Amino acid sequence: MDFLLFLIGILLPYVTVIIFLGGLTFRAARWWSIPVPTKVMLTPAPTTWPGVFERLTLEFVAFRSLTKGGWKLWLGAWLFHILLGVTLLTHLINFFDYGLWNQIGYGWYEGAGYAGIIFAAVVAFLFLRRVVHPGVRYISKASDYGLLLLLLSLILLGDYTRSFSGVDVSAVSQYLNGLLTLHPTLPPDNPAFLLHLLLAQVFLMYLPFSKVAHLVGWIMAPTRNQRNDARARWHRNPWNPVVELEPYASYAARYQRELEELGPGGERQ
Amino acid sequence: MNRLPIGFGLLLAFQAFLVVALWAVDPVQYTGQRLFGSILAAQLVIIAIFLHLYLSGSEDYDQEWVAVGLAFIVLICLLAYFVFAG
Repeated sequence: MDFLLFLIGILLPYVTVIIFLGGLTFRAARWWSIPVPTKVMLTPAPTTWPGVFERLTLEFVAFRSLTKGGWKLWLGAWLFHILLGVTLLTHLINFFDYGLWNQIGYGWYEGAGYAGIIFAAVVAFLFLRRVVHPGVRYISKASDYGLLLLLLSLILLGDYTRSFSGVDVSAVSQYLNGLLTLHPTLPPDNPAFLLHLLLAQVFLMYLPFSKVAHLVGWIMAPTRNQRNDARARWHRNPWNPVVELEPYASYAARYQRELEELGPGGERQ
Repeated sequence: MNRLPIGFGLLLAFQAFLVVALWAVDPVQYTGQRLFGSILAAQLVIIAIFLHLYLSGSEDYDQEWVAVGLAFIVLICLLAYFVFAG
């Protein structure tokens, strides 16, 4: 058991961080290095950078483009991300300062528990939607189902850990603080917590190589982060070879004799 | 293969399971009235899905509503497990 505790609680977290950050950086760098030969923004698109910022902010806050997929999908996805944010926030509080809950208030702590339960139901909706809707089922791959099932089990285990496992949250907080300050200690010996921790690490390791990489991808989509200035500005295609341009004056000077031999119509006399 | 009858069958089986569970829990003596209420709520959602499917008839029905209904049942079950029964 001690070996398992060491593996899941001390070794794997650092491996996870390396794979997560390295994978995300790798993917972002690969996307960044792909040339964009033409202007491909989705119109109507803003013509200025502040406009692009506004568009991306609206996308980030309200998932505007998702409304085209129907309001039920939009609501499900929006709720999912809001509850994800709440979950991340509560985890961060547990990470850094568990005592903060005393200042925030017990009501918010309870609320976070309810958020976790609704979170599971929303993920269940996104999963069931893939199963029930023939159109969505047709375009779904095994990885789509797998990701949602992984998330669902992760969240349910989290809910269970919080409500019924009887894990000492202050001990968890101390353990996580130890990880952050590079003075790791063995995690609390609680099966539900350890399984939750393991699944979270599996998810984080898989994240950069899955479609969840839209975490960084949304801001790099040329369809949304380009300005609609195709007529006003020259868009340089990075694939094109560099062409030396010669002004007409020097061209004419260089080929003056030949040009004079040709008549005004460009035909030899 | 027509999936609709299979869906109906599964929903009916689930409803039968709920009825058996209710019988086993015995709400007359059991004090967890909120749990009892949540089971009833789940049944209501199931009946609503039935109604939606029935009213749609042979026409193409909005499957997303079925997913919404099933997700509500999941939510009610989770609340029953984590809050009311806990």
